[in-house]
Amino acid sequence: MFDLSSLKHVLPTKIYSSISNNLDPQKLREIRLRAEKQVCVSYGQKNIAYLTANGISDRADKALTVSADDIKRAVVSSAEHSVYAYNDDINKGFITLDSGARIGVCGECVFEDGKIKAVKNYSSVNIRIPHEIRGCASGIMPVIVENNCRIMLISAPGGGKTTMLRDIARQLSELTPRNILIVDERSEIACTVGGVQKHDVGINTDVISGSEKAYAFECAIRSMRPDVIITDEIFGKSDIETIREAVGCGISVIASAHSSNPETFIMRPFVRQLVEDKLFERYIFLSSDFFSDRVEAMLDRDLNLI
Amino acid sequence: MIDKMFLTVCLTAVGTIVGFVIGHRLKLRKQYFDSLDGLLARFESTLAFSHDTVPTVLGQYRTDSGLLNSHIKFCLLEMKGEKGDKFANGYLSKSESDFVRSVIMSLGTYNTAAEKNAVATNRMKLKEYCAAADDKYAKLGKPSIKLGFLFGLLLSVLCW
Repeated sequence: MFDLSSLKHVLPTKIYSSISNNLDPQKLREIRLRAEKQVCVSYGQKNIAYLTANGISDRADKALTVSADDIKRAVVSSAEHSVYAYNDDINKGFITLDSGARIGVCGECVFEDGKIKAVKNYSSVNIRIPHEIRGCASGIMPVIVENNCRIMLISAPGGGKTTMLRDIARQLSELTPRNILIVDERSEIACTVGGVQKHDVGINTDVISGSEKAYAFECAIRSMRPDVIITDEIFGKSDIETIREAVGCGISVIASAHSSNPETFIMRPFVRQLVEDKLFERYIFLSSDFFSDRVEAMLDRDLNLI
Repeated sequence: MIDKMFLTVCLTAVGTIVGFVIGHRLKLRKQYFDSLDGLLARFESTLAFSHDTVPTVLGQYRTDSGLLNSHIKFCLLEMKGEKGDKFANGYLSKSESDFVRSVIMSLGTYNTAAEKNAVATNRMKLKEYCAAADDKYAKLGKPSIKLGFLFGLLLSVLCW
């Protein structure tokens, strides 16, 4: 269960007070702060609602606003008042809090020799609230087991892929005992703090967090002997190469990717390679509607609708 | 005669105590600025090597200066978004106190390269405060007990 007080030092006082007094943290999915603009939240079934002093509203004119200083304070506080220690994360666009909340950061990027050196003049932050929904993957567990755990979950951003992966890890780890390894690039799936996972990802689960996929997969395959590797947000050719190596070593991979439906998914450049190499047996599209049946569509390994 | 003797003893004792208090305050000021410089030096080495967070560096820093300890405690609370007691000026002037607060609260607000520059700049400014505190302690702090004694004695003579 998410503890809202973990955001107390990040949010401006008026925003925190409004949320803590009027909203249920368990229904809160995102808080968006933009410099000199109205504060928005994703709450319950509402994808965008404006935050007022008395709760949420559809009217932007009554919404609370934040200043550029508030945004800077939010970023600095998220980074434990140590931006230098979180510089690599900020350059990648996010900071993960101990509570598992992920703070997406926008601002002006400073480049040197073709590499990003810093982000300055922060303009907005998006605070994503993690939710642990035990049993949310129960409906697709038979499909996962039947297909030897070679599954890709797909949904639009914020569609609940990470929550689903967390529950898949827990269920696979405990109900069909296997060695599960989570490659948690952004510390979002397991939220490991001080070596301890804040979310329940199962008793037979190891976690490598904060590492790029290629390095983590290589280390894991050589030393941890996983039966299944679970990882988030596949993006680009290098990730496909990494997964191909793992599958070639006889390890099943469950991954997630962004897309809103099969038509747009097929347009993504790396998908053709996935299909040619038959790296996944099933592509499961999740609905963004948390309150309905989560599986919107399922494709076989050749991308035929099932 | 006994009255005059008693007045002399009292005034010289008061003068000595006042001199001691002034000397002690000047010594504490010197110790305060030296300790603050030590803290920034420690932070600089963190930037170069371990990249510990600011709360870790502040929390682990040990100093004999009670005022600096209370300032560190205040800033740690403020960094966590909590309000502590007032940022006490103690034996610092208002401008010195504001400077110290801004220095501590600015720690950790930049990336590594910019942070190194900021700390170096702050240490340069701090050196001026350290030098002034050193100078004042050397000129007034050390002889303050003697001066207080003599001032008390002089006052008693004038009162005879």
